[in-house]
Amino acid sequence: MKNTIEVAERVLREFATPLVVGGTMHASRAIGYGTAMDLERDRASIALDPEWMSKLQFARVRVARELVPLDRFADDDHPPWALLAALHDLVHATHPGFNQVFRRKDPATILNWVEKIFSEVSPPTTVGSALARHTWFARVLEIMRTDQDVSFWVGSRTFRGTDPPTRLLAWPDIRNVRVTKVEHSLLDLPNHGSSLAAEPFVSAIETLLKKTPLTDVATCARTRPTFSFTPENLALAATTAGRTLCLRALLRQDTAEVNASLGRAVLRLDGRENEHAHAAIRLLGERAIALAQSAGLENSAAQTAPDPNGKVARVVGARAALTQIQSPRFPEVHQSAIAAALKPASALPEAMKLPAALERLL
Amino acid sequence: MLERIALHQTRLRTPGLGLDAKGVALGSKGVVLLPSVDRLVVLLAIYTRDYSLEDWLPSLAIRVVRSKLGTREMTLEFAAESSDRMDRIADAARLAGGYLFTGTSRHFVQYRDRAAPFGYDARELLSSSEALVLYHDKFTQTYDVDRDVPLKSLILRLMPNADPHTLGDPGPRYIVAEQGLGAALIQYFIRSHVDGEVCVGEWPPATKFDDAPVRRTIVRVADLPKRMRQLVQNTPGLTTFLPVSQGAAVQVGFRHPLSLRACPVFDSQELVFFRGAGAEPWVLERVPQMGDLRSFARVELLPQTAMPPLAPIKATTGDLAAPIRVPLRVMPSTAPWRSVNASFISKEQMPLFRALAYSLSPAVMREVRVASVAAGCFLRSASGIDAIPLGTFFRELVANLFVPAGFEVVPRVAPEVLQRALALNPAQLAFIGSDSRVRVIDESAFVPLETLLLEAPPWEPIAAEQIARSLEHESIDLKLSDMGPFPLSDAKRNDETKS
Repeated sequence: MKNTIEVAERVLREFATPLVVGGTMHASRAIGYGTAMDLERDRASIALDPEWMSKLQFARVRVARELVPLDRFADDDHPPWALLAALHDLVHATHPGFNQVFRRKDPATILNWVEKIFSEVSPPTTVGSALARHTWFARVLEIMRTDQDVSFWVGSRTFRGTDPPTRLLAWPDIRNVRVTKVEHSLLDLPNHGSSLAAEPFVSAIETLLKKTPLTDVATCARTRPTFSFTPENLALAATTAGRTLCLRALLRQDTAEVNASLGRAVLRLDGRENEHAHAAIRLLGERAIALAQSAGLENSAAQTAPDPNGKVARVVGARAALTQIQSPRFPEVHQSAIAAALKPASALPEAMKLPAALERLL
Repeated sequence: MLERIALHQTRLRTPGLGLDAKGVALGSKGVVLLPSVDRLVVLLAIYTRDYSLEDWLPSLAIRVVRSKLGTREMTLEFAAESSDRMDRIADAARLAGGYLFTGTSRHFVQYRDRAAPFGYDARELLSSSEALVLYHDKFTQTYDVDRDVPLKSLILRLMPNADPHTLGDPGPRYIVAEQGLGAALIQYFIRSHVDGEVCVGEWPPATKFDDAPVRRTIVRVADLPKRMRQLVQNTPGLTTFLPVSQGAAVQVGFRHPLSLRACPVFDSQELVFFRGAGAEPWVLERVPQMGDLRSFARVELLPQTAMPPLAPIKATTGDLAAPIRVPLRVMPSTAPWRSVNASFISKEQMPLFRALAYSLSPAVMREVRVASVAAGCFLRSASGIDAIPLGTFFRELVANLFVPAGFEVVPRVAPEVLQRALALNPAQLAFIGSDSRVRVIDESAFVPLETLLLEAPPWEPIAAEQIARSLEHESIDLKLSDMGPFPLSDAKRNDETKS
């Protein structure tokens, strides 16, 4: 138990807090599956510094308030220890120190533990828990490592995630010292000094995002791992409150990039396999209405979205929206204006090329 | 020691004791023995309530006497003219806890009571050299005279008692004003048309460090109006006295223990002010010459040009009105203040006005209009200028014509006539000062106070971009540390334990 509390303190202070607030993050010794599960099991009994937790809660509320006017989290809100431990180990697995003799297999071991942890953690079951989990992992893709290449008169050295010693930077003019700083994002870390293969690492991050579906939607404009509609994020979007959160999260991102991601994701939808597939169409429809109500956004999106996937998203959104505004609950005064704004999108050539599976959903 | 005197008894042993027409034993003097001064005061207070001491005074003597045991007691000695007077004094003495004796020189026997209607006589006389030998049915005592206490000094030493009933007493009053307040008090009474007399009293210096005598202004008012009583009674430096007898006055709110009217110990030239709260009385041995209050009214001389011509008047056929024209004058007036719509704030008062500006309400700011002139500024407000309690107030006599509040224009012509005489332009405002000078200002010179008042505060741009930057999230910077020789050892151990 003592070891568990020490690990919890370390993870909270050195990893989870920078993950929420920003700042210097440390991912030191691996936690492992056993300790992670201990943390998750004993989460209610782990006593942490209340002042530290209060500040952390404050930062999390700030994250949550970007989507919903929330003042505090529920009393039984505990850190998602297992997921935090998994992410910690994932980041730790990219440590260049493993790229040595007798250690090259260690990252695979860590990855194995992470997969086991993910298999044990269930996705959020309520909109509130999805939001609470999102406040921890909202900035997961913003983790950066700064590598510094120091060249001097007789050679050069690379420092990955560490600062070069001052003696190496001494007398910069005489020794012709030059420092080149390169920032690497989380998903690029396996490619820079790590013995970990990039593909399983990205796959693990994708699995992590499935465990926090609101974060998945809120980062859908990312390049890797590509966004797709999963049972987890569609279950969230199937509820009105969850869909509202998703819409707000989508509207905070670049419209063209979101269109491209959503278009790509919606083309992969299969109504027969996913019972919540209609939720994706409804989400796109409501997003199209929201964009149509601000005509400027819609026009700019049309001009800056040459991506065919983006056009698909606009067509699907416009057609779904035209159906939705026919609802008797929709205010009549806005119907004609929104219909006029959506008309051009629904008449795009891509409208004729939609897959049959998607047509069935529409 | 004593024996009762029987009816028709003619022979008495006590020297100087005789029988009056009623057969009552009576000496030429009466003596009241009292145990203390306060009993003496009680006796005098009781007696003077109904009777005057005027007849007593020539023969009255108050003495402090000392017995053989060394105890000191008080005696009041007086001429026992008749048994009636003695009976009255006997009643009062009984009430005051004293004993009444009668005799002529040294030997005094108890005066009559119910047990002995004709009085008492001593069975045998004590042979003593003491000044006073008193025979009573309970004791016989000899006394030596310690000292005499004049009635006047006793009265002066008695402190008046608090008596709020006198606050509202009507009648004449003396108002004694400390130096510095006298002139203001006199002017106040003159303005209020209060009749009275005034003098300045001089008292010896309060301490030996003072060279000059203490001077106070004494105003005698025949009937102080009720509305002023509170003011003169409560103003520090003013003390109000009620005359209670010739030459004596007691501070309002207090009462002398004796009825001073029954104690004519003060001369007609004398004046004593009995003060309350334990203060020494002010004694004026001679009342200074008093003058009529009206003599102090403001004296103004006619200007030289308005003096009556000394040359004989010649008949003229020219402008008939010219000889009867008089210059405009402004005189103090007791008329109530109405339509006080303007004020003048001098340059000296301007800092105070600037300080006051911070507390003015928005409505006042909007309403008040101000015209700045070299000597200060004129303020106007249609709804009254009393919100700015500063400067010289002006009341609007008629449209655009102002005179100082508390003053009136003489000759008392109609305001419209005055307006015509000044030949004012409708766009001009005339302010007649207390010095009778007329100052004319264009109405356009008046601007709203709020536009003139505020200095433009210096401003600087706010760096909004800094605020935006502070709201940005700090980037997450991953730092790596040395993982040690066996980086997974802890995790593996725990994992194996689970397995």
